[in-house]
Amino acid sequence: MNSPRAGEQGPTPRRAGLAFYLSRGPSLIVRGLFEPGAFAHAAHRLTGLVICAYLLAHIIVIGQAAFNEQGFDSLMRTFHRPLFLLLDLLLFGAVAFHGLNGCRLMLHDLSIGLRHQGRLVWVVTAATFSLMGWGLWALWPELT
Amino acid sequence: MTRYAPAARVSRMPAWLWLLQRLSGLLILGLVMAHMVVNHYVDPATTITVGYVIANVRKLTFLLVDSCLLLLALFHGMTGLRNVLFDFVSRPRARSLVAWACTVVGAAFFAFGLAVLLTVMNR
Repeated sequence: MNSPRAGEQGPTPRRAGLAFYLSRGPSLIVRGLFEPGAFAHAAHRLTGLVICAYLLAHIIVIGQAAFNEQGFDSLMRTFHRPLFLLLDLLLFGAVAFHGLNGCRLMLHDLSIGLRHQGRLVWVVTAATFSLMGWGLWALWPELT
Repeated sequence: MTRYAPAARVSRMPAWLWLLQRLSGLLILGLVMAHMVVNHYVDPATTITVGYVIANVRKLTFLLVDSCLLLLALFHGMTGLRNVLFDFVSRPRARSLVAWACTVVGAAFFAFGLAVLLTVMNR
């Protein structure tokens, strides 16, 4: 009844603005958390933004040391504290997830594995946590 | 016949940008894993020093990996950021502003990073 007849333009769909994301976002995120597609989209975007912010900070922090060498070694000693090593491990996990999920997206772009999209999301997630486990094992002597 | 809204003048993701995003992503995956594992996980007991960095940057492999990573990661990151921001910005003028801002920020950081690499290399 409400659907547009042939040759007629239907109602223009409203764009989801910032207010929509702010008001409905949390509930949508919780509901969609266990739906693989939504989970992968949110996690890919979140890790991407985190890595992008880290990249810019990384270039500035490491880069300024080229012009101030005295500060560099003490800065690196600070970054070698367990807290920063744990943050480094989280960054490693974010990079691993973004990369592995990116591989999944590229395969789907080539229409490979489309039937297994949902399962592959959990494969990617499991692989990420395995890699983080390996990283934790590698860093363990420094953390304890 | 269904009529659709007119296409935005600033395309969300032109085909060439989409392709470059995939290609840079593939290259980055190998480079960034090498970068992180070599610097942090192979020998976690050592702390990185100025001497280590200078010695490494003088090696051609490290210089190539670092400069490629700088270029590709900034390109990939800024394209991704533009893509995210386009979800919240739909007016053509605002979109072109966002696209230009991402380009300028990426280019500035690339120039700074390149200057750093050249400075360290020539020490």
